Amino acid sequence: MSLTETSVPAVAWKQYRFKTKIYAANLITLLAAQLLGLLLSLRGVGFSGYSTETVTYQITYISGDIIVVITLIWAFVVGYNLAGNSFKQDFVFVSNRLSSHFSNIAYLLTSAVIAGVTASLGGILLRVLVLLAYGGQNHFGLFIPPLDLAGGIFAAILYALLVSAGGYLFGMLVQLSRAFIVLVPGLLIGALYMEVKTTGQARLLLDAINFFVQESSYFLFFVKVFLAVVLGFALVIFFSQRMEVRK
Amino acid sequence: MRSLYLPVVLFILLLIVLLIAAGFKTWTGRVRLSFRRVWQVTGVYLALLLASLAVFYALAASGKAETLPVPKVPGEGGENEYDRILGDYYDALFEGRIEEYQGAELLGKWDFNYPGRRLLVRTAEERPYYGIIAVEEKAADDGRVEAKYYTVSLGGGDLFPVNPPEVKLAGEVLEIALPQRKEFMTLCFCQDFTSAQFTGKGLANIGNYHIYYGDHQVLYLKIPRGLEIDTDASTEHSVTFIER
Repeated sequence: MSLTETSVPAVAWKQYRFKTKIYAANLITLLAAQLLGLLLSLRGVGFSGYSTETVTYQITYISGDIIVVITLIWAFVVGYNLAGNSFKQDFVFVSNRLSSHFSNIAYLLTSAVIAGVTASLGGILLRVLVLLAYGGQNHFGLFIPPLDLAGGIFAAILYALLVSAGGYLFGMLVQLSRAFIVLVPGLLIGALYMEVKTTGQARLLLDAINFFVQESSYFLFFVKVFLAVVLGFALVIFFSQRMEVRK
Repeated sequence: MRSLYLPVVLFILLLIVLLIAAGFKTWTGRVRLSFRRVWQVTGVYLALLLASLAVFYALAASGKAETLPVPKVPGEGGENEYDRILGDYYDALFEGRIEEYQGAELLGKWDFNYPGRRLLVRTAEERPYYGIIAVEEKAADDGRVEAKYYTVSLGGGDLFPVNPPEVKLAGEVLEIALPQRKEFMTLCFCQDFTSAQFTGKGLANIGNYHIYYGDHQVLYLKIPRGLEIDTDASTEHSVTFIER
């Protein structure tokens, strides 16, 4: 019997603060990943051209999409690794699985905010660097209205949260059984392959992606991501109840 | 078979993710960075990003005007703004209204005294001419050949400059001297997919612009009444006569 009384939120808060310190190196990997994306985008993410008898036009497309995509891969990896490592560290505290999950969710939310903000601002840094590098080159589409930028940051945060929740769920499944590390990608790719072979299109994946990426309303996008993330975390809590105390 | 690329791409992506995950886990497991040092580095990075934000809005505000070319806007019946502009431009041309039409950009103007009865129109060095040579016969024989060179105005003239030819009269030959080819490079800044999704530009907004400004060029000739126009191999498919 302990003389100190505690609560789940209090323990979760302590664990969260602890995790922000021990996983601080994640920020450096995020920075490295975004700089890699920046480097890959500097010379353009697409090209098109047109030629007549007297002129040749070359148009170079500049976008921060690669930075965002690499950031999302980072978010997935962070979620996946957190599911694998955190329980080992959480037993340092007097805690239960619920407090551990809450602290992990809070950590993923913090990571998603940092990732979303820096990824979107990374796109701005890219524009500035390209402008400075190409000097007086003709250009168009440079200006981004501040509200559009804010909307992009908001969406990038939600995407990062969604993807990291996916990584967390996948990581938890792998903690349940190592077989999932092969089963999940195998089933996903196998199902897609079979669908493409039979119907000629990977509708399942496309529909799943389009469910989020074709949503043009901020509110509905938020609701969709929120529900998907809640579902993912609920599944994680459900699955983790079946785990042994410590693996 | 193109649809099979998606599972392959997905597989490669998953492979990259797993590789990164493995390397990442090893790296973060081995390397111990002090919390303070990490925040210092992150702080510098954030300061850089915020500084770039300030520089960006300073540059974007004081920079060149954002003359956007006509985007491909899918509309009903597959028509779009670009098609409408082109339709109006060619209607004005073939109805003999090009000189008054606001959507035509005048690139060159020449005026020649020519008392002859026949005129050969050709290019210098027999380079093929792919534009239109529109010929309008004037009501009177005033002994003057007027030449004007037009292109359609799509609002992207500064971004996609045209390289118009020179027109010369040498004896009984009206020569179109095509210039040496010029190369122009333009940067198109596209919004990230995270914001393009909400702005109506579509998820993949890259490439949603027409850049075919080099096309749709017209040499418009107003000739004295009764003047016969001859062509050679370089222009024989280009001449069209305008009936008012």
